[in-house]
Amino acid sequence: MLTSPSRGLAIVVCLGALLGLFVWFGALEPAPDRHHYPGGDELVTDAERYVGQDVETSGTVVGTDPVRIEVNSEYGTTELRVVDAPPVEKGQNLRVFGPLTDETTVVAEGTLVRDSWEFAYMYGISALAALWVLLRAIRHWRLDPSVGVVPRDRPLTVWGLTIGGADASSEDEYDG
Amino acid sequence: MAELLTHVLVAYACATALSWRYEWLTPRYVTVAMAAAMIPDLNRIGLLVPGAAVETVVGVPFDWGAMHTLGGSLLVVCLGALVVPARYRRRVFLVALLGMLSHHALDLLLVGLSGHSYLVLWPLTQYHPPTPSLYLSSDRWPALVALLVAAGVRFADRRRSESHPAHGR
Repeated sequence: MLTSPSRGLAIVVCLGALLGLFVWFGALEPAPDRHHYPGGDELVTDAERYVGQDVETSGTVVGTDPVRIEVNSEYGTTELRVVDAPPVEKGQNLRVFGPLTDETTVVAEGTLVRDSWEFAYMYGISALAALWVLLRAIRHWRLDPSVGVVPRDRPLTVWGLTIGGADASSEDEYDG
Repeated sequence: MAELLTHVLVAYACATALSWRYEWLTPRYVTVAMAAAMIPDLNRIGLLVPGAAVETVVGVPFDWGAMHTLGGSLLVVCLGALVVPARYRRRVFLVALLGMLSHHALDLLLVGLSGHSYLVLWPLTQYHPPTPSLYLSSDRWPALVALLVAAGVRFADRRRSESHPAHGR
């Protein structure tokens, strides 16, 4: 992989910078003036702090009279009462934007209702797309431990079947 | 995230259309663009390894969400260019950049209840630009439209390679 010291250093620098961004992003505070509103994480960890502010979150409907949603975040769970909610059924997902009037009440100014099967569709179709790209990647590229990822120049055969391989044109692969 | 099929198909269509102008942009590079179109959604690693769990282990704030910003996405594009040998690097970087940017271009049109999208330019700015709120990630029609566009581009590409035998498939 590390055919030159500068290449290895560049990889380490990029990885370090990426880690730094994950940490920085984790420390990011909402900024309503930038239209960055408190969401599920903030409501679960410190709702009191955001009373009177607009919030943007979503959750599973657990009650309909009044409408209550269960907001799940990586930090835990909280239940919110949604004032001015649209007609919903238990089990649906309700997205809501509006002011937090007390620690557990939000007044809906914007809402969106989705069924749970829609999320299943989203993840299912995404998994298929990822699989397609993976197959194409395996067909066009291979890992050469000494230099990294390189184009295949011979067709890839699996179980005796040819899965494509090099592009038909004889390519001059050099930049410049 | 619009769902990944839309993202991958749009990247395929863009890269394939560009291959008509740039001879070097062969199918293997189209594949790179398609793979890069999935980069911002690597924030979904959080479904397997929650950022909150990382926080408890390392003791500092941690959020995979940085992946879904230009800063995080660009670093992954750079890493992608660095794992290939130098002679492929510039091409891989360019097509990966194209695929990655196409992802953000599509996601900036997603429904935002506040009328604003997400902090796409972070860490340059935390600003969430306004969005036309065209579709949801779980809508079905974007993938259908992308499928028709990609099929049209593929058809045109086939016709071209029949009249230019030098072009590889």
